[in-house]
Amino acid sequence: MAKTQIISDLQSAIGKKWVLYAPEDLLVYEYDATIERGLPEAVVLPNSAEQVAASVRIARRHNVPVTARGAGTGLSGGAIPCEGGVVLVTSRLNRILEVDAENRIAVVEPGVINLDISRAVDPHGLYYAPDPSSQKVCTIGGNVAENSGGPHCLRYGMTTNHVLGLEIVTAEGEIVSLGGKTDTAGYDLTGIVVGSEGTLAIVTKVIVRLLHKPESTITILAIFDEVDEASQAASAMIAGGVLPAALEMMDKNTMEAVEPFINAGYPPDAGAVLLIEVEGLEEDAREQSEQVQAVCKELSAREIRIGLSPEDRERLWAGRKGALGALGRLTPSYYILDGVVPRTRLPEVLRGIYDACDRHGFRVANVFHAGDGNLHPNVMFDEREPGVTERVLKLGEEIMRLCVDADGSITGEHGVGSEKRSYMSWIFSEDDMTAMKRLKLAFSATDGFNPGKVFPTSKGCGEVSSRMKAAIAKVGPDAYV
Amino acid sequence: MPDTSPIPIVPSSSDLAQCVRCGLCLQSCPTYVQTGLETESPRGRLYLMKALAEGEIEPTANVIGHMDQCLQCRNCEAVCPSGVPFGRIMERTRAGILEGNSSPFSWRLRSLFLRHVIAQPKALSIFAAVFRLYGRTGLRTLVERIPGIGERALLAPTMEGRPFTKSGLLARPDGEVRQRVALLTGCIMPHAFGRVHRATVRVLARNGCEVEAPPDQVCCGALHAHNGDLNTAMDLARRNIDVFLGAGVDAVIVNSAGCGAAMKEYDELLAGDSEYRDAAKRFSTLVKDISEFLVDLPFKVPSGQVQATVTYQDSCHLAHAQRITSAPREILRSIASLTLVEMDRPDGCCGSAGVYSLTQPKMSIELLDEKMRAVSDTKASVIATSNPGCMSQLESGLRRHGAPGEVVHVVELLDRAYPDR
Amino acid sequence: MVEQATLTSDLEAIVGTTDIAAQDELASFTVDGVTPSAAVHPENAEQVADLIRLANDRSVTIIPWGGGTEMHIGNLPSRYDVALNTVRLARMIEHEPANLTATCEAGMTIGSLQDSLAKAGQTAPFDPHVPRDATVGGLLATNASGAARHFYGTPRDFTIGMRLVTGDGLVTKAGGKVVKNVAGYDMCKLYIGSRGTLGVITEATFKLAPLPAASSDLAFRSRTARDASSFVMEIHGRGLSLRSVALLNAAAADSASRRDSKTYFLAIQFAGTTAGVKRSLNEARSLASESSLKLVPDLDSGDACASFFERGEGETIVRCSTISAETPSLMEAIEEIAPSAQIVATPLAGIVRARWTNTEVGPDSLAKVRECARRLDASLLIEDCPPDEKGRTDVFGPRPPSLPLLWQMKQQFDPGNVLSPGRYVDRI
Repeated sequence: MAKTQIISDLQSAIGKKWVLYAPEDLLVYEYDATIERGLPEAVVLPNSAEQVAASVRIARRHNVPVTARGAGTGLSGGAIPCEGGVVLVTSRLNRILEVDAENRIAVVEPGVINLDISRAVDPHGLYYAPDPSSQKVCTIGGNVAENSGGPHCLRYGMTTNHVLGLEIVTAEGEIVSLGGKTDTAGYDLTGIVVGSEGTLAIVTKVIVRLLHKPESTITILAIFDEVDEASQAASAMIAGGVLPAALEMMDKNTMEAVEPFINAGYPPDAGAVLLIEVEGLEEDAREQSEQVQAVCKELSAREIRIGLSPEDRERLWAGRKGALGALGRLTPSYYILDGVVPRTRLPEVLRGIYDACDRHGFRVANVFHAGDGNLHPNVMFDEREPGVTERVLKLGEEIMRLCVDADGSITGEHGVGSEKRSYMSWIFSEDDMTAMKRLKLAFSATDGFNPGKVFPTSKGCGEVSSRMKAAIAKVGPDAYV
Repeated sequence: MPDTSPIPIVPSSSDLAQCVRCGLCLQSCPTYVQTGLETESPRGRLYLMKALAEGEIEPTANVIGHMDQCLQCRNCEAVCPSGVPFGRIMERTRAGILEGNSSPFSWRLRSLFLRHVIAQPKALSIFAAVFRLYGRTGLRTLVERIPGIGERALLAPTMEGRPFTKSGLLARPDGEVRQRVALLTGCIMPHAFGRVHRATVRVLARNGCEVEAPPDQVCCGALHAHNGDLNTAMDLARRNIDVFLGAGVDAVIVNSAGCGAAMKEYDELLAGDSEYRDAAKRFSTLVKDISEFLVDLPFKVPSGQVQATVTYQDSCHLAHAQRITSAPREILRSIASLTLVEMDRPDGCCGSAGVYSLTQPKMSIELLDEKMRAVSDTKASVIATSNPGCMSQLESGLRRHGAPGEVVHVVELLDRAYPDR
Repeated sequence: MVEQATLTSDLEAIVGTTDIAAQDELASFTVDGVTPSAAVHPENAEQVADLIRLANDRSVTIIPWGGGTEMHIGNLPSRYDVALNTVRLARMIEHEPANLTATCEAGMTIGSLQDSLAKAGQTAPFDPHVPRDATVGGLLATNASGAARHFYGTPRDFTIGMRLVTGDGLVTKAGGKVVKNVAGYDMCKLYIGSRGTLGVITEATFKLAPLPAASSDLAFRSRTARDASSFVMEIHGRGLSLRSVALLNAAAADSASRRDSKTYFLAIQFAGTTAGVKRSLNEARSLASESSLKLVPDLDSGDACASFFERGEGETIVRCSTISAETPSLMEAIEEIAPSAQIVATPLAGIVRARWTNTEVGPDSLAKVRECARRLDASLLIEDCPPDEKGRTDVFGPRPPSLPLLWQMKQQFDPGNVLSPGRYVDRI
């Protein structure tokens, strides 16, 4: 590719080595962990907030959009440059700037890996709570953009509940700090930027809250013959006021995929398992664990495994967190959804999902955060079969409908991206979305950051379903963690 | 599905389709962690290799550069939930490039060297003698001090001590023969680390094994396969299969993790060879890493002691390709007075990676420096590992950082702990 | 100025004649000495929208009014014509005990909300010590928190859905009824703490928590703030069932007739499982016995925790936010400046609230406290002070770096500047 003016401008701003524009190099920035694709015109890897700001100003001058990218493990196409332009990678902004153990605060750059924060503060008996399944590789910047969740969000909340302040670069290329270690005056712009899918600003610094590690953690694996019993048990626990730290469910198909990878001891012949963790003071954990076991027994759990060793625990979680990647072993392709329903509706919606999949003739693997009512149905298919993609998408839409009809939402933790933009109108009115657009306008009148995401009316990756059809047909299996 | 084409020089589409781009491999990739570039990540390289295989892109110098930067440490493979056979895909991609019209001169040169020096015992002996002289005369010390050249020369393999030249029957146990085993002597190992072979033989004998080194054995072909010369690798594999199966032993013992990994995968390598396919399968089940073999026996807990603080560097092809991480540690923990202190990320590549340290000295040294920092944090005086390449690289690291201490193979420590050796 | 008679009739056209306050009731809606010309009690979101549209058409300004417990906080209103009282928007819309969520209208008082939820053994995790007649809408508009903040967080942490009528009359929904939801921007965050300057909150949905099975109070005296603070940090670090913490200085303790005029007074509340609370009590007692803290037997610490929300006439009240470790220094520094100040702090959240009677301290005390907070990197909000002081200073403190964004936000959501004008940061 010819070296265009924007390339040389970027090169002089952040150094030749950190501006990519060779076609083969750009190619590997066209994907993330979804089936979306979008080729950037340049990739920059700045090393400071000033370099980020300079890159944004240059892009603005050349009238091309900027899309921020962390590790590219997102599940809604958040890092895909739908309309080309510059992809700004945060992997070099990976310093832990400050650990203040006494005040339980850390200040980090956006490219820091989620788990690395917990590793760094572990000697102080602290950790960073949000634990998306990709936490060994995903970045805090990406977590902030998507307001990432994870199994332990049930008790501790999502990313937004653990971010105290941010430093951002605005669409005008200015560096502004929001919030901070203490309460600050003004609207909660920190809370707004968290979860804004990279459309409002680029984050260059994150102040996070740390938690004390619990004194005691009890991991319980409850094994059920039927999916229905397991989902009823999950609902019953919440209804009974038992709030475990994590309450995860995996069905038979998921376990079949996971076991060969991890040998975690998931029983592949069972209908479903609940992986439950209770924690806190020893006394509290013990009491909660008894309550959990009582509920599981009531709902005829076949077996309840408790008193697991730390190694067993780690294996079970590795299996859970690698579950979606492992589905690649069972099927050439799969399509994942991220619906949420009130916990009381879990059993009926889950039944509805299996029914719908049966009716459409697809196998489905369900692995999800039962305690939050956050479902992840993975529809398995073979893209080589003619016409199959349309049928999968139709089924996906039907499943999302089931969630929305049950008073639920179209995404619990993965984000809207471009794929789910058309579903926004199912849960939000015109006026609701007008309010969101105004918020975006307050940040910038231009569509300079990550265009084509969140809003159904934006131009961008084009008609969602045709884009997806083409993408699925072209690249095959999809991964979600 | 096994690939059934006679000469598998392109990665199979089913292998390539296995990657779902979840990214869980990223932080396990030393070159990604070092550069932060997707182009230097397993996921990025797989995407490029897929595009190459499908003809979407050409093997330009840029693309070849990204392939060259890959250590083939296979750390990504060990953490991949969907089971992408990265090592196999990379070898076949390299084979495809090497066979193709646009194969770079350096690749062809490298492959000539591997074929005509490394795989030829006589040529290799001469080569090793020169290197030995280089080390002994103090020339090495001199060269490593020359600015600009020193860094590049640093990672040349060490050839010191007495070479291991024996073959045939090497040792018999004092008492009853529990197992008859054959030792792979290999190409570089007998010249660079003859002492490891001697320790291996003593330890095996002490544990009731009759040890022989079949005289006609050849280099395992690992280096050739990694660099895309699959035809030579297959040739060597066939010869070794004939030799070792002919010896009628209970196990083929390998003390070099890279060789062990390659030999355990002869069945994959020769899956398309109808004549050798079954023999290769049989052969691969016989291959055991020395640590794995000793722990399975189980080995006699040594009565002596080794007074030392030791840290263990997982050799990539033992930990990631063979998935053996606990056996060497079990051996170390069995030794009285030995304190095992784990370093940060012990299974991260040290930068040796076969001929990588010679072809990519810059990245290799960056990784080595990281590794030496982790080692130094443990305050260990001994670094134990399981592969000659790692040993040589770590020795370079000690010299580079002026750090005291020694690098040994795990089996050497066990040998020292047995009294009256 | 708006012509009174036509305004009243226009308002009546929207809410009816009975839902408009009589002239003699208007004084109770006074904000910073300004009494509105009218006060209306709409009964649904549509009426709220109509009122706001009317305000835009007629250039009338509105201040939303809930329980009135925190109306003293804010800059002087630049204009104030109508109080929009949410008293009739007080219904429980939906309580799903089995889903641990509830939705109610904004005018519902926290007292009646909690009473209603308690029947199912549940609670909305607002600070347990906020005044009972504070409303849900008011607590969200101010993002109020107190002694239990370290445990429950602030309302932004457990509010999952809202309805709000924007400053130009759009009736909008934010979030939903599920506990995890990232569909679209997190609009709840924008509205919570916006103090009635962007819209009028009409409804909210919360994540609930089960009521604790057991709870128990402990109170201590401590010679220094630092000892008390370290004690709290230790208890928290051990993961004991600490629900509420209030550290009072001697003046504050005196005023609450916990007489012992030389020492700090530490009130803590444990809550959780019976076994957990029991162990927490034991450990706290034994830990205290090894420290300089003295146990005060038989004292209910509830009213001490409630002092985060107490106020009196003729007072200056400041609320500072600092990092946990600086809490004792900040307390001590304020005492030095204003010895008669009653100070309550929660070391875990780093909040220090001080109040003093204006006549009892030097005239420059406020300026000195502000300066001292600035020196300690603490932020400071003047909750209350004499009106002439409010005229001179921005009660929210120095302009934040994000100020242009704040003004943009106001412009987008209340383009006619009809909602609580002048009251927010930088007199937005």
